[in-house]
Amino acid sequence: MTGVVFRAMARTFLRDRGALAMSAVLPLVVFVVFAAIFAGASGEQLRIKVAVADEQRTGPTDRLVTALRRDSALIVAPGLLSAAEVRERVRTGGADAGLVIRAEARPLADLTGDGDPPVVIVVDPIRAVAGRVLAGQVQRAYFTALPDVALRNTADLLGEAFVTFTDGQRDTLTERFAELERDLAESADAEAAEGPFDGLVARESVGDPTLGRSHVAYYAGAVAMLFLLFSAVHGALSVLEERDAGLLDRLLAGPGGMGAVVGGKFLFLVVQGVGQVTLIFLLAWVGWGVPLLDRLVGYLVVTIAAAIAAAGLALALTTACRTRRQAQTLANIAILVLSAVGGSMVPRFFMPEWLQSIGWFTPTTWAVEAYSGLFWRGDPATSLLLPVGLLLGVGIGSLGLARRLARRDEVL
Amino acid sequence: MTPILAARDVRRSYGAGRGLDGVDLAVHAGEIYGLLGPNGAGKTSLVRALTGRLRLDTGSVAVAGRDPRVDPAARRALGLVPQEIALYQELTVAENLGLLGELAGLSRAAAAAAVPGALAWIDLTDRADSRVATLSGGQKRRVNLAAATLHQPAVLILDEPTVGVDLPARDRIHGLLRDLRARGTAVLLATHDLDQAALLCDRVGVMVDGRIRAEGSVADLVGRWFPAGSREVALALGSSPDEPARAALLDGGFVVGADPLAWTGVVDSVTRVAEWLETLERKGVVVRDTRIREPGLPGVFLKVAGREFEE
Repeated sequence: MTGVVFRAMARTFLRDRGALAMSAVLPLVVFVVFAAIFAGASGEQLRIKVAVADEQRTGPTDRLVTALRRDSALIVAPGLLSAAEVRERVRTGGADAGLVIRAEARPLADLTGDGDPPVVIVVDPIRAVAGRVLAGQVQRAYFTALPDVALRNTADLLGEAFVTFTDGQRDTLTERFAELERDLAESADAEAAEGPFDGLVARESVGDPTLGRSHVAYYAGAVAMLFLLFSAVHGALSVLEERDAGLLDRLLAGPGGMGAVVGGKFLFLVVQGVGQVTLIFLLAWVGWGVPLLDRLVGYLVVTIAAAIAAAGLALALTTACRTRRQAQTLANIAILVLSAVGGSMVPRFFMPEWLQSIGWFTPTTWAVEAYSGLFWRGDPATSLLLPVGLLLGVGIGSLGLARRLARRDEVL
Repeated sequence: MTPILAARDVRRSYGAGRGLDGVDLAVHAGEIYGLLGPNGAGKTSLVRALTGRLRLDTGSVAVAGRDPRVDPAARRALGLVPQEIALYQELTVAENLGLLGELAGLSRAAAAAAVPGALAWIDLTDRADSRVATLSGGQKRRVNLAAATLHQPAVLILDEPTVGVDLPARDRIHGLLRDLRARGTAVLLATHDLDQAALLCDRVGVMVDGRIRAEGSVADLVGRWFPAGSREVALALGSSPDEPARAALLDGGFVVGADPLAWTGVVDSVTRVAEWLETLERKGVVVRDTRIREPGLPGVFLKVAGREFEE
């Protein structure tokens, strides 16, 4: 009897294009959108669009601009713009940040002279981070691509404030700076040139290098849980539709009871959910290298537990309601709140501490944390026990409640 | 003869005079029994009770001698055709029949084997692979009926099986129900279509306010309430009757329905109609239109319930 209800659900689902789109296509589309956004926002990929105006047009400023163009963290607009054009691009969003080397300022090669600082970073306050990143990259370029200019300025500062160079020393410095400048010019690739300041900063990544790009792995779990809930409710509403259509009267006049009806639907929703989540993770694996196959067993355990939780909750909610409209409204509210608090919409790590704590009361968080543990942080398998246990507990408990509530329809 | 479907002193109160108030019922194999009554009379509650889905205050129900409330075997002997088109709209006719046959208790193989015969019986073999949603109203009604009979139940209960279908479609359903009767199925037909009951039913029970007030074949009931040769007289009055006129109508055995100008009564012979009208006119009753008809179920209902049958 349970199997027959399962087959009836499965066939109806396969014929219902709306349900198919909602369960299979829409989650993939939403996931791709989130993945595309957040893959670009993760550290390795962050590239800032920069508009540049060079009003000084001296050798050192040319070298600075060239160095910035070669910086992989920046996308510098081609050609040189006027200061007004740079400000306009930043204002209209054509560039994330702007850089103006002002004519009416100290020359870049002589920072100890009179006047304002030569380099101005132009930012829109809503993209303040872009300005800070650009400022950092300018300083880096200054010390790595223009070490002769930096040293010359340093020597001038020393000569002015601390020691007095003799003429001989001054001649030697000038000679050395000229040599350094020549060496740099001869080097075909300025990136490869080793300036005296190159040894300052090195980069180190934490985490398992085999794991997927962090935010994509996070969003695969987050989108999966959001749509698991939506699809489960969509399927569970068939209990109420079948009651309105008289199908339940027909079925209950037969030898099976509500237990078989709810059981068959539960089984279908779990299978549907596992299939749906697997589609999302397959895409995450193929498109973004989320290591699905390396952690397949853990993935299946978490996914089955998440699908059981979603199916149980959806059936409990729909059997608690008397009308389809009531169930739909309640489900929309519940899913949106669970998803917002639980981290399906905005990543939990962006949330304040108190909101993250509240999230621990939602199954969305359990699933999202379990997937993050698997594919992002590379947590040991034992760390999955708690979220998986909670998901299974809620799923099976809700199924029990749904069966109890459904008995109201059995004998009136 | 032991009835295959039985209810004994079935009571269930929902408060405020609604529910079932001591229903006794016996339907036999090879019989079509019409359960008549206006909306709210308790037909649906009685159907629920007979399918084992109503908690009873007192009394008992039995299908093939077993209690459908506790015994799945009793429910296997039962088929229900709900008033709604209780089918999976997105599935094909054949898929519906197969799945619903299984849900009624058949094995997968037995259900699959029974589908071609069922399709032929309802004359929809050529639509076997059509989705139910694409069928006409009459075709859906036939599938609705076949889905409840695939497992060849001893008892078939139908709740308003021809609501919203045209006359030819209704006649086809009637033909199918007669087939079932010929096969020995006990059919309980809950309806408020008195014409349907008169055409089809071997016996009818008139249900009013949760009780079966009269029961028998249509001819028996008419004969019991109407002497041979008597006629029903339906009057349409020209104006609302004043007190003396009203008293005269009531004295003459006329009853009034929802429309205060429409009164119905019985005369023992056609020849007395003119005499009646004369008497009424003398008492101040203004009659605009008079219709005389053979007594039938509407008249029986009028006698039994003391009011016009209203759907």
